Amino acid sequence: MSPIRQSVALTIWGLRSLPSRPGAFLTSFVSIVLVAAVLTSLLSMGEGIHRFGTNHARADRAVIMSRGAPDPIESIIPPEALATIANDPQVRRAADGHPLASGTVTVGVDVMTREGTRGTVYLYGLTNPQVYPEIQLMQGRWPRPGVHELLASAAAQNLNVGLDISSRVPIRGADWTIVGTFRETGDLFDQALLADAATIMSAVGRVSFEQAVVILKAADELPRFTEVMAANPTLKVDVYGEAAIREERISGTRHFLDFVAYFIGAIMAGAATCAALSSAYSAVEARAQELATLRAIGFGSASIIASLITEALIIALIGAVAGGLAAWIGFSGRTMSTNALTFPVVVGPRELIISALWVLAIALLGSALPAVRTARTSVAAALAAA
Amino acid sequence: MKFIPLLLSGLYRNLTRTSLIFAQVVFVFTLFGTLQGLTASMAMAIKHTHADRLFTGSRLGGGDLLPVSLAEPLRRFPGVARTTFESQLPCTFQRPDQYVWALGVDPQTYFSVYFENQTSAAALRKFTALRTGGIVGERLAQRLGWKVGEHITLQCFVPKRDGSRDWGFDIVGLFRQVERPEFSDIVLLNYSYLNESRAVNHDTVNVYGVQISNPADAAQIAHIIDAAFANSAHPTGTASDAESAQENFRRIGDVGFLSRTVTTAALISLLIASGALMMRSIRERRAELATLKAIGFTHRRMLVLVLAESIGIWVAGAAVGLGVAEILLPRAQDLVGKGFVPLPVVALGLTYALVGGVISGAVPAWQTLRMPIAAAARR
Repeated sequence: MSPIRQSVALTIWGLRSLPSRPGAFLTSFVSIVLVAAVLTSLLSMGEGIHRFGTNHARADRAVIMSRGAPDPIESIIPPEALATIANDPQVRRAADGHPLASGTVTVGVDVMTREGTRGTVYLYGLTNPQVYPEIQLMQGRWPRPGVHELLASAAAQNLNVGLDISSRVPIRGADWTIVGTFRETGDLFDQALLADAATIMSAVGRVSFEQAVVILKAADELPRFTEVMAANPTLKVDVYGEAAIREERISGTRHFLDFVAYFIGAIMAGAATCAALSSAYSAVEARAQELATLRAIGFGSASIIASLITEALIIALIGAVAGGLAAWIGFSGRTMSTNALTFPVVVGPRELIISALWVLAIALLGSALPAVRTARTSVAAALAAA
Repeated sequence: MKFIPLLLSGLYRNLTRTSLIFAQVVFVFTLFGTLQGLTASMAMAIKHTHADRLFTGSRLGGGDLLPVSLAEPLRRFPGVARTTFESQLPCTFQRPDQYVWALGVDPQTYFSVYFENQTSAAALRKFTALRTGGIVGERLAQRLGWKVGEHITLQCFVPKRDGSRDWGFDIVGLFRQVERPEFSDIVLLNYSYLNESRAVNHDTVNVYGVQISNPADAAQIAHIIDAAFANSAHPTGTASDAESAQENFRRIGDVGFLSRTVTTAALISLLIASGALMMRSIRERRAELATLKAIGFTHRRMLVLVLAESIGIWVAGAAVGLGVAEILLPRAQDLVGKGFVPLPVVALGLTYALVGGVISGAVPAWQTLRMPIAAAARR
C-alpha cells in the first residue's frame, strides 16, 4: 500500500472512531468553533465599515481640500478657488458644457430617532449634484437654490422622525422644508440630507466651501490633474482620488476595529491551541495500542503522522465552517454605530478565509506535536505500556 | 504526612497536560482581565469627571461655531459661577504629520474654570501681558522638546489675514494637567491674538466651559441654557462633563458591546472546556486514587488533595492571566485613556478561578470516591 493510500485509510478510520472519544473531541472542536465565530464576527465590523466607506467610490472622481488639512472640517476652499478648479481642462463637462465640479459644505443637524433618542444626520451642501450621479431621486423634487429646501435619504427618513416630505426641519432658527427623497446609496450619503451649498452657506454664515469634488475626463488623468493643482500657487490644495480619501477617512476606525478583532482573536486562539493540544495528546494516548499495532503490521510513521494531522485539519475545517456560519447568522446585516457612523456589519469571504486559516493553523499546531511524539515512540514500548 | 510530595506527583504525572491546562487558564483570564478592565476603566473615567462643569457648544455639533458674545449672557444664568471659552486652531509643527493642537483662550478665566491645568502665577502674568505668548502643556513640551523662552512657528490650517498659515508664538510657561497628564498635549494661546490674526471665523469660539455653583443643578441649568438659545441664530447644545466623557466612549460604543457579548459567551465556553480537561485529568487517575483509599486515606483528605491540585492550577493560572492583562491594557491607552485592571476585577477573576477549580476537582473526585475500591482500581 502506498504511503498516501495508507494515510487516507488511517484518516477515515480515525474520523470514524471519533464517537468513541467524545470528551476530547468536543473540547477541541468547541474551542475551534468559538475562535472561528468570534474572529469572523469581530473582523466583519472592520469589513462593514470598509464597504460602507468605499461603496460607489469612483476612480475618475477627485476630492480637493486645502493643503495639509486632515479632514473636511479643517479644509477651506474659497469660491474663487472652486472656479479655478472647475475650469481646469481635465475636468469633465456635462452635455450643457458645465464642468462636473461641485463645492461641498457639511452641517450636522440635530434629529430625533424613531427610537426616541437624539441623533445627528449630516446635511451636505452641493453646488452641482451632477458630480454624484449615484444619488437618485425617488420621490418629490430637488431643492431649489436660494430657498430653504432639503432632500432627505430614504434611510434617514426611516430611522428618524420629522424628515418626511413637506415636514419642516429647524436649522439655525430657520425652518427648512423637505421637498424630496433620494434612494440611499449604501455609503457615506446613506443617512444624509442634501441641499444647495450656497443656500446653506448663507444660512449658517460661511463664506468658503470645505472641499471641491470633480469628475475627471478619465481615471488616468488623476496624476496630471494632481500635478497641475499642486503647481498652482494661488490654490494651495491637495488632490485625492476618491477611493483613497474615503479609505483614509475610515482608516482610524477600521484599524481600531481590526485591532480589537485580532487582539481578542489571538488570545482565544492561544486558549484553543492549548485545548487542541490537550485533546490530541489524550487521543493519541488512548489510541497508543492501536497506533502501535498499525506500525507493527507495516504502516509507516509518516503515514500515521499525516493521518493524525489530516484528521485534525478536517475537523478544524468543519469547525471553521460552523463558526463562520454562526457569525454570519448572528451578525451579517446587523447595523452598528461608531464614530457617528451607522453601517451594516458584513461577513464576507475575506473574514471567512482569514478565520479558517487561523483555525487550520491552530489544528496544525495542536496535532503535529502529539503526532510526531507518537510516531517516535518505539513500537515495542507502546505495545508493552498498553 | 506526605501531602506535598503527593500533590507534586499529581502535577508532574503528566507534565505536558498540566502545563497545557495551566496555559489555557492563563489565556482565559487574560481575556477576562482585558475586557473587564476595559469596561471598568471607562466607568472610572466617567466617574472622575467634574460634576460642576458644563460644556456649551453649537447644537449643530461638529465644526460649527458659536459667537464669542455669548460669554456674558451665559455668565448671567442663575447658578453659573464662571465661564470661559476656547477657539481651536489645529496646526502642524515642522513636519506635515506632526500635529499640534492649539487653543485660543482667555487667560483671565481659562485657568480658574479648568483648575486641573496648573501653571505658575508668573507664567500667567506673562501670558496675559504678551499678546503672542503661549503656555505649553507639559506633555506637548516633552513630546517636541520645547523650552520656555523659545519662539515657535506652527503651520496651521486656518489662514491669517495676510494669507500666510505660519503662526508664531513665544513660550512664556508650561502648564501641568494634574488629573490626566495625557490631556496636556496642547498649547494655549491668547484668544485676542488668534481672533485678530485669523482671516476667517472672527469673534467665534468652539466651546464654552461653564462652571456651576451646585453640581446637583447641572441637568437643569443645561436645559435652561439650551432652551434660552433654542430659537436664536445660534442654538446651543449643553452637556455635562460626564455626558461628554460618555459621548467619547460611545465612539467605541457598539464595538465594545458587540465584542463584550461575543467574548463573554466565548469566555464561559472556554471556562467549561478548561474544567472538562481538568476533570479528565483526574478521572484518569481513578486507579491511583483507589490505591490511596485502600491504604487508608480518608475521603476528606483525598478530596483535599485533588482540590488542592485543581484549585492550585486554576488560581495560579488566573493570577498570571490577570497579570498579563494588567501589562497589556495600558497599551490600549489611546482607546480609553488610562487602562488598568482594577482590584474588584482581579478579585472577581480569582473568585471565578476558585469556583472553576472547586467544580473541576470536586466532581470527578467525588465520583471516584463513591465507587467501590475494586471497581475504581479496575478502570
